[in-house]
Amino acid sequence: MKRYIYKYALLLGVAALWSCEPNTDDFSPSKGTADFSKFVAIGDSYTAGYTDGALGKRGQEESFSAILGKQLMYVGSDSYNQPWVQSSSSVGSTQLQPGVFNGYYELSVVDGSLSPVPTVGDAAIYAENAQSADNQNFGVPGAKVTHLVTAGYAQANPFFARFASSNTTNVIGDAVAANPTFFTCWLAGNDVLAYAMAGGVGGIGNGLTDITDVVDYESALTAMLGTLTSKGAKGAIGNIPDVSSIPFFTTVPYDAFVIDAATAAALNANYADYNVAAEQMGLPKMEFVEGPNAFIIHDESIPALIGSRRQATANDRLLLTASSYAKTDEFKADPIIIDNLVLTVDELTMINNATESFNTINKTLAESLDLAFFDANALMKQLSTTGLIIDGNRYTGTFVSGGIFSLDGIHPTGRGSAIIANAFIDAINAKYDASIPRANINDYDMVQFP
Amino acid sequence: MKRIGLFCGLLMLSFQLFAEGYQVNLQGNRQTGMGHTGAGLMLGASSMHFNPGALSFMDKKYEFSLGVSGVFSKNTFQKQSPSVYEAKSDNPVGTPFYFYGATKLNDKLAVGLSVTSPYGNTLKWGDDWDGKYLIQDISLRAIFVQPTLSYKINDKLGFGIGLMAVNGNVDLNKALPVQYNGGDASVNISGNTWAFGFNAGVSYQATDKLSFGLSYRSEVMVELDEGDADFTVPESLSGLYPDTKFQSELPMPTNITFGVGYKVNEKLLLAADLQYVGWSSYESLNFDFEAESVPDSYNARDFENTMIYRLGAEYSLNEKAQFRAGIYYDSTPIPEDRLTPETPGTNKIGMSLGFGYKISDKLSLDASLLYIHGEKREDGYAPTDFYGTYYTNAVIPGIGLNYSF
Repeated sequence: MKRYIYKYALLLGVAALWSCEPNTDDFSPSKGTADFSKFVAIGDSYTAGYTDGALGKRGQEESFSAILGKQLMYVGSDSYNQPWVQSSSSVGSTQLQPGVFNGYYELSVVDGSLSPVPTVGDAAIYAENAQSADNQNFGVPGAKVTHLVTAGYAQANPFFARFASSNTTNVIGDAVAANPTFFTCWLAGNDVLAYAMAGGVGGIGNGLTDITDVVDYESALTAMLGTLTSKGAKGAIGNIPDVSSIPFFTTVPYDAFVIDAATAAALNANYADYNVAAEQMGLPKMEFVEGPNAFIIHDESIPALIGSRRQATANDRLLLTASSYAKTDEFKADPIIIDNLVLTVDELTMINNATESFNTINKTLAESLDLAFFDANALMKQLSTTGLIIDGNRYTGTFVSGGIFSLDGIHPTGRGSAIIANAFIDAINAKYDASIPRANINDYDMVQFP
Repeated sequence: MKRIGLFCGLLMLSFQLFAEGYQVNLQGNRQTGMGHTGAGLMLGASSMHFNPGALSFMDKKYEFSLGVSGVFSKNTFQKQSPSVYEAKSDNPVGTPFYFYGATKLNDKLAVGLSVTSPYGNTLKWGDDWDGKYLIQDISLRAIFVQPTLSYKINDKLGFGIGLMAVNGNVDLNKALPVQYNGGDASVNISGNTWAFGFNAGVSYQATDKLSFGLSYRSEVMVELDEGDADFTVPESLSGLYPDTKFQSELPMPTNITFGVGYKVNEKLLLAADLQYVGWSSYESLNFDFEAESVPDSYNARDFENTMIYRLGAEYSLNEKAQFRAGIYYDSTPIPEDRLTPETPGTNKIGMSLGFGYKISDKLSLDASLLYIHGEKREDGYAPTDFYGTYYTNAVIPGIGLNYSF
């Protein structure tokens, strides 16, 4: 018996010593069939790291492309160089005063409630020279697909001028000159968003706030992806989210026009003639009561004779910026949400049709060129409907509190970018049989509360 | 072997789990050395915990027993693939203890008092680890004070019952997914309360060699009516999240243990226990906050009843010294998709060694060393989508003294 006890004691002792720490099986990253040695990201403000309404170093560090670039270092990439903003500030594209541009928005308590307030940006950022042959981030805020293939685009967009190799080059030319072995090419939507953010003031064409013509979209994207893959590079592309999943277009309710009884009575009197005419034309009347009402909106499909206006319905979308407009004296004098602050049903239909056409082209090109495909449309739809629970927190498309979108209501927070980066990683892993480790979402930032 | 255990202990400055769930089975160093068997044995004062029915069989008029264990354990969490994230818990050393004091009033009747800490859990994952929204650190401890009465019906049969007065204490921190100044908001939850239950047992000496025992420890529902929730939130949200009181409850589950003891010869004693733990009463962990602006929190647990299988042996080397060894298998009560980092349970194998030494007629010493190996478990908590692979092990040295006269 003694012998057995000693044997047992020995066994236990060895086991205890061996296991001072639990032995773990470690995850081993692998590149699969792709070559990540030189990763280049091409795109728009999402790729650039635009957040909280401006471009600055903080956003560049937490863009989806920077997070992806970091994760790709586990599978053979050795750098992700960016055209860093050198100023400690940031700059956006809204002029607060002539010559003064906005910087990052900050959440502040204004009249007892939380609102995003712009800081003053540093316009000198536009004039910075961040050009480098080592650059790997070719994200240009504001760029449409058609812009990326346009020679001389640096002259039209200072965000590109910061790092363009010359003022006659185009974005795709500079990106290809970096000799990528792997690329992401994601134009998240300026081809429709520029129009949407202008409240649908524009048409189909090449104007700044136009929806890109489908034929132009297809030929530009085909040319771009063709060039990128011509030397054997592999890559991933993404598609365009619906405007209905972006808080810039979903936060202000159509019926949040709150008035007192006197104002309601005055409006009813004001619109008595309108109602008589509208009834004759078979259009809905405008009626106001004390409390919340549907906003009056500009709609060019309503005859100019009666003011091209009507009350909004649940099918119209007011832009985020409409809420601050509704506090202005201009609005108080004539309470109507002006044309560039509202998307009417007709305008939304145009946007949705274009989004659908563009996404069909994206999908077809991903398949024909055998590229990984990130379905941004599906991800944003999920976020804006059921939400997404990740590592102890529920993320939604809700403005400010949802965790995904920054204070401009369009661009992601660091967490939102990390979720996008992980979706790209999942798509790349699936396509190229790779094992790129996902980023830890909780390592990145959300909206900061005061 | 002790040296190896201590050596390991010095290297591992952390510890976590002892038995499955948050139960701690370390209530006697003699028993721990034997795989924590004892329901079927007559082991004097410590019977108050293992089987109050056996207390009436104590040899001497007075018996005191006290001891402590040091729990050094290691938890490693690897995030669900594909990820290179790994976290290790960094906990203070757990020190479950026991004290037993008993006296025989007459040949048939014995009374005693025990103070034990059969439930506890102290885990520290860190303020900024990846599971911070589930738990940063938790300290859970229940101290059982048990006056016990045991009656020997005849030379073979004893019955005993004890009243358990339980002092439960909880203190936990978790981060909240609201950010300010580049960091997270957080909440500290703490509370202390008393609850009651009972412990009863029957002990039967079938023959000179064979003994049986059956013990029942009732569930104790520790109900906290006035816990403190202290929120650390950005100023703009301080109105919504004031420091407030909360109500919550946590069960200390029913234990039913059947034990057998068999004296092979004068030198060798064998023991086996079958321990049933009624974990299914732990359905959820809820916090009902007094302040209306603070949303109540419901967290599914859905624990399942479990069995622990124990085997132990004691071998007398000579008049003064005994060697002990034991092994047990402890299955986890935590079902799939309900595994949290606050109680990262898994099926465990425990292997123990013990050493007893009679210093004098009155004084004896027990030392034990328990090594617990947790099976690697790849699982997580579905409601908050936190998945990965948990690795667990522990080395637990313990020491105790017995004084009887």
